[in-house]
Amino acid sequence: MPTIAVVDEARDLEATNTSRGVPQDFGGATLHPGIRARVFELMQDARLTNEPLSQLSLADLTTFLEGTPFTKRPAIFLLDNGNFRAVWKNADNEQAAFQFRGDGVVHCVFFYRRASTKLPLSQETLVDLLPNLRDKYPSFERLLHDGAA
Amino acid sequence: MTAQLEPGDSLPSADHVLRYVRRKFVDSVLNQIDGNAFLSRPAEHGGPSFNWLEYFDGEAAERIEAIRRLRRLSYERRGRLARLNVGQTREYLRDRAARPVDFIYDPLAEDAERNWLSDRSHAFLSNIPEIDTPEGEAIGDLIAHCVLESWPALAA
Repeated sequence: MPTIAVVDEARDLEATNTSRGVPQDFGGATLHPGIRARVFELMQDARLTNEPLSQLSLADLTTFLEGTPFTKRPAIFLLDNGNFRAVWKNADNEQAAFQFRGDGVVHCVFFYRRASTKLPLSQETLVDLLPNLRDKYPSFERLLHDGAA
Repeated sequence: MTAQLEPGDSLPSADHVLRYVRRKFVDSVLNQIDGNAFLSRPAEHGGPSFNWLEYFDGEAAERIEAIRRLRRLSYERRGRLARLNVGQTREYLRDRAARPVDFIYDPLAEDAERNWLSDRSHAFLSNIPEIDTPEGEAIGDLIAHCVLESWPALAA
């Protein structure tokens, strides 16, 4: 399948948000500037449209990102239920996706390539607690870094 | 228009559909659309709504413009219109998730009270889980793999 071609708009969004005074921290957490800008944008939109935004989910997102080594920032989305979702994805559609449901509960969707490229991606969906994801880190670590294939 | 369909018919495999994607599901900097955008909302009867692109004649830009004119939602700046192929999406979900889905033709009548025009291009994707269910996110992510391209929801 061809990859998504979202080619215009918002190329400078992160820089624009920074100049508009994006908070430098969320509850004391120091986040990657791109993530900070994206979270700020989502928070602003939720406020403007009066849609739910879970502070518990935001707290878990920041805790996870602070404790997880990565060099490539994840895509960040705000779901209809007010929870944040972070998704690392590569060109082969392998992914590590985490919906932070608050109180340390995380809903994960992993897609991994198999040894045989003729077989479809393996899929793993699970609900787990934030501290337990540290044990799983080796299995998805390579998706969190630039140049991951 | 490539085919005459009756309500409830499957869209032709070779044709395409557009789905409006809210900007909260678009991380523009990373060119990524989240799978949750393709899941069913409680207000969407039958399944997530799509527009059948080939219902309209003309070039892609004209067809997209026709769909914009019929919208029943307020499109957001930085929202996107994502294009998927009917047959590819159907096969992908069948092969990857053992889930038989189909794009069902579902023309909408005019609603004068709400100032909505009739939308003869409307379709929905059947057998899609509702948003915020454990199986839903994986299915949504698989549908997102089928996005061929996307355009700004609002014309420049």
